[in-house]
Amino acid sequence: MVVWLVGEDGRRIRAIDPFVPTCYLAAPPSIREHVFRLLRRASCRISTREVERYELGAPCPISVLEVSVHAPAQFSSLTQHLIRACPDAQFFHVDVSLPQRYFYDRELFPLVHCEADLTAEGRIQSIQALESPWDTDYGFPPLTIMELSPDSPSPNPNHGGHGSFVVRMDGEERLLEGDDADVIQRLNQLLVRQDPDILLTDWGDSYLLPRLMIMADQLRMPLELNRDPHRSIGTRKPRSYFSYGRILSHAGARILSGRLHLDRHNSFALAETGLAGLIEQARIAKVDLQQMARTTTGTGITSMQLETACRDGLLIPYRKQEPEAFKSARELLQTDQGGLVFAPIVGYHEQVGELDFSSMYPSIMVRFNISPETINCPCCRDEPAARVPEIGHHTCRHRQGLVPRTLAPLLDKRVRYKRLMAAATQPAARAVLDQRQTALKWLLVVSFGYLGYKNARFGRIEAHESVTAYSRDLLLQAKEVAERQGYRMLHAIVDSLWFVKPGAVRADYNRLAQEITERTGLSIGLEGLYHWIGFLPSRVNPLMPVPNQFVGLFDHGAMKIRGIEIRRSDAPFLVKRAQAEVLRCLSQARMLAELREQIPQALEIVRIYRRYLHDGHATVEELAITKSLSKEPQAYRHQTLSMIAAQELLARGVSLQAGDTIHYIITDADAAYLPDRARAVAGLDGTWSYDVSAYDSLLLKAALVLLTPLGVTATSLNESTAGC
Amino acid sequence: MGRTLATFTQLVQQEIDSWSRYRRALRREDQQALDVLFAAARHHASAGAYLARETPFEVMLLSMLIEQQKHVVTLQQKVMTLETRMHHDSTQGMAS
Amino acid sequence: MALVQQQAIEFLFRTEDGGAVIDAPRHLLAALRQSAVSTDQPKGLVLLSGPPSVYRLGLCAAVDRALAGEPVLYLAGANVFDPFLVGRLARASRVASAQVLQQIHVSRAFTCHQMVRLVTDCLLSALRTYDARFVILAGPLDTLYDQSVPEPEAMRLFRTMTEALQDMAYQGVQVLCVSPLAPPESGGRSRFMAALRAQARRAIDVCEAEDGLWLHEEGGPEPKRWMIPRPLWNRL
Ligand SMILES: [Zn+2]
Repeated sequence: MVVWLVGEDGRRIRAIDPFVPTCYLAAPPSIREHVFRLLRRASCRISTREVERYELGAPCPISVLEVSVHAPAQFSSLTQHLIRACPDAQFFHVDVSLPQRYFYDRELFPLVHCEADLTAEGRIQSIQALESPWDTDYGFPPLTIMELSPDSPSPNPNHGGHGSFVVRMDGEERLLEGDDADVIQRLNQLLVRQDPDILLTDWGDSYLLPRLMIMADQLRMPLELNRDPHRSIGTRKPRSYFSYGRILSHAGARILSGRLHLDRHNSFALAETGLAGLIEQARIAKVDLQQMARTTTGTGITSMQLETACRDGLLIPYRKQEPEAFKSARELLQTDQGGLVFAPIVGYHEQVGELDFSSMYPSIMVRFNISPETINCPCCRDEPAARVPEIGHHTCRHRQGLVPRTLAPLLDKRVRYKRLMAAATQPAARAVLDQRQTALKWLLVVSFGYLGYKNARFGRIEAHESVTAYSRDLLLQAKEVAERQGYRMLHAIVDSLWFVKPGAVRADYNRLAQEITERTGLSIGLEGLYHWIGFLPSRVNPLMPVPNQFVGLFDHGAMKIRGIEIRRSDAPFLVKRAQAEVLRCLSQARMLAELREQIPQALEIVRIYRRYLHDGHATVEELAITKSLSKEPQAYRHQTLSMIAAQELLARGVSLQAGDTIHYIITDADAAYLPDRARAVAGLDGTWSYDVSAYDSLLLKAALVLLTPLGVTATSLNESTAGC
Repeated sequence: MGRTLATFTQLVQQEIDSWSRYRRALRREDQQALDVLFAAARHHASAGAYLARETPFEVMLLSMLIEQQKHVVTLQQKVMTLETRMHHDSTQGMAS
Repeated sequence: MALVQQQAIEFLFRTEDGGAVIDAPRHLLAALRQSAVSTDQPKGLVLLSGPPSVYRLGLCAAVDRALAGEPVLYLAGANVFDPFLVGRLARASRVASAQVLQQIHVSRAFTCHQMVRLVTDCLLSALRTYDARFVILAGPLDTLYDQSVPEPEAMRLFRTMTEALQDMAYQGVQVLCVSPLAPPESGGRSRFMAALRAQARRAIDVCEAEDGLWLHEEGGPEPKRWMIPRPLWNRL
């Protein structure tokens, strides 16, 4: 295993740790003979021995063959070969990535502060961590960052608008210009001279690095992106595939050795939690930083469970095979439910309190010990206290399950971060703590999905059902406590509840939260007190309530907004800005009576924006609509606007796949000739105009959703904001 | 993971669809009344889901009745207020 | 536990080419049992394929058995099961729907490995536990279309599964496979459908038309056709 270390003297050291990965297989003697024959033909040293190991939740161990591969580089190909050759054997520990296995085995993690003993040749004699992944007071590692971006006006350089490259380091910006050879040469000089630890790019995976690699290749020049001279750049092609009725897609990747390549446009973790959050996730999940940046949060939570399993000496099955236990159709009807959602009382309300159960699902798993092996255990069948409410399952009262054991420290660490955040005085320090706690929040959020998920290592549908059953019961308990005290429930979504009671102030809501916590045993807190909050009606059918669509003004002045244009990626910027201005105008009001007085001013804002649109002043940036393709562009049957834009890009030779994001403007929504209806933003020239009435109606809709509950109708809005 | 069973909100929509011919043959004002009834069924979808009964239409009917009952109470209160005011006005009128 | 004994019925109407029209709603279940999804001849696999509405036909067959007091095993491979249809059918037969729901035992498979494991390892013991002789496989191929499982692996799993099903059928278990047609994205795996068909003792094609649902069976001395009129089907 190659391990890169940063010495105290600042040296970057390439060290080798002789790590021997193992896998296990259970099979009858005849198949084992076959396995031995195959292993004898392997080109590296392999040792085997008979051992007894437990599967998760199994009462007795099984006898398995342990296969140790003394050349980690060959581990993957060798195990894949075995799996293909022996389809009837059961394999364990074969598909966990080796860096993760290494971290678990050595009790290390990415970017750990550690102490290592090296030989002169760089072989690691011993290595140990000097800190725990559960520490909260670690600093940013001493890594240098070089940024590399395309100098392109296009929202996605893959869709057109090629430009030159911009390099930023230590606050200095350089434009790489000239012919291809100049660019490569300049970049190589910078990389060698500056020797950055992290290469932070925009579109590095899909555009920049592939383009640079092709350029260097054509010129037969070296490209110094890798720090490790022994390795080539890891390349993963973009691909999409059909899985359970859905198209799944992966963006491509360019992985470096001895240096970390992070692409801001191909990283959920980076976008949601920043660099501090990404590092936090990598540290506790023990997933290599470049992988953590590109994978789903689920990989992180899975890795944490795998580590728990490895620590306990459990076998990790290759393919999860255990299907659901039979249940009667009647039981299925009871159990196949999600969390409870109470439709909101549409309209604006004042002095409303929002109470949230913090990390409800993972807290339920920990508190009620929900894990695949604890559900319907043989030892607690008759214990009333073990019963899951409403449904026939029970959980174990004797042994803590793997999932709760994995999640408990995670929940605890997030609470500690939140406490530190509340005490932090420096805004910069608070921002870092916030990114880290957000990173943990995401791990907790996905932990529930992986309890029943079809490909989860330690998932089981009954565990999934038990969590939602508890959540329904807890939400109803909270409702009952509040209603007994005279509160009215306005809205509730799974773990959040909105209450109102005439005259109730902050202290009352805090007391209510405390009482619910005591009654349920699960922590609920006051998310905030609203001066006013408006639950907004459906735009399709005003009679139908829509959950999770509201605007509220907290007593500390901030607004909470859900479900409307301003929060949606597919709304044009101009519409979002108009809506934001209307909201800012409404936020002047503290009470419902004042809110109504703001209406004329809000209408004036709408009028100005409409005028701006009609006068033709709107720019591409203000009008661009962003949509992500849900299918392969060739597979669409209806000519939606996004499809028309996609066809335009395809015709220009851009390659698109499901999951890609495209940007377009509406040029003439009703044009008989379809390509006239919309144009892709990438590569727009000067010869375009926009569809005023299409954007006008988007604008009106965005205003109407806020104003309808205040008595403004579509007709009155249109009339009062038309003309000049 | 996708749910196996239709959600209660989906069941209400299915029910609405199954009555589409009936709705078409109603007068405009009656169609509006029908829509209000089904909106009541949607409004109480959480209770319907929690009950999880295999015959959801009767659950929807009860949800509609709840909203009707609330309307009746609201109207009763309004009538009472108005009656009190009228009574008050008439006795005032006689006194003056 | 016999709940209701279905009456055998005479078909009152015939289509122009001599097919039977299944008309009255109360006759639907019996007619299906007698004709299309016959389960009175044990041994062998019956395959019902066509548009997604085949799932409802499969469930009709399950309810028919459950109404007769017989336990039914329902293996859901496509995450589809409609207890509300069970409720409506039970009500039409004037039987408490809860009783019917209790007679149908469901297990869902979300991956092809689970599906195959379900058929090969769990089904026999479940048949014993519930004293059942009738199995419905709803969407047995759906999980095999998953492209994250390599095609040779899927092929091997398919063979393992069908072998187990044939074994079971020869032991007197009645197996009804309801399978929608392969989606276009299934690519080369669409041949699983043909292979399943080749294994079936009876293969019935379902297609939807303006006037109703047509069921068509090749083979035997003469091809057979049945029709369920649209108004009846829509009422289910
Ligand atoms: Zn137990």
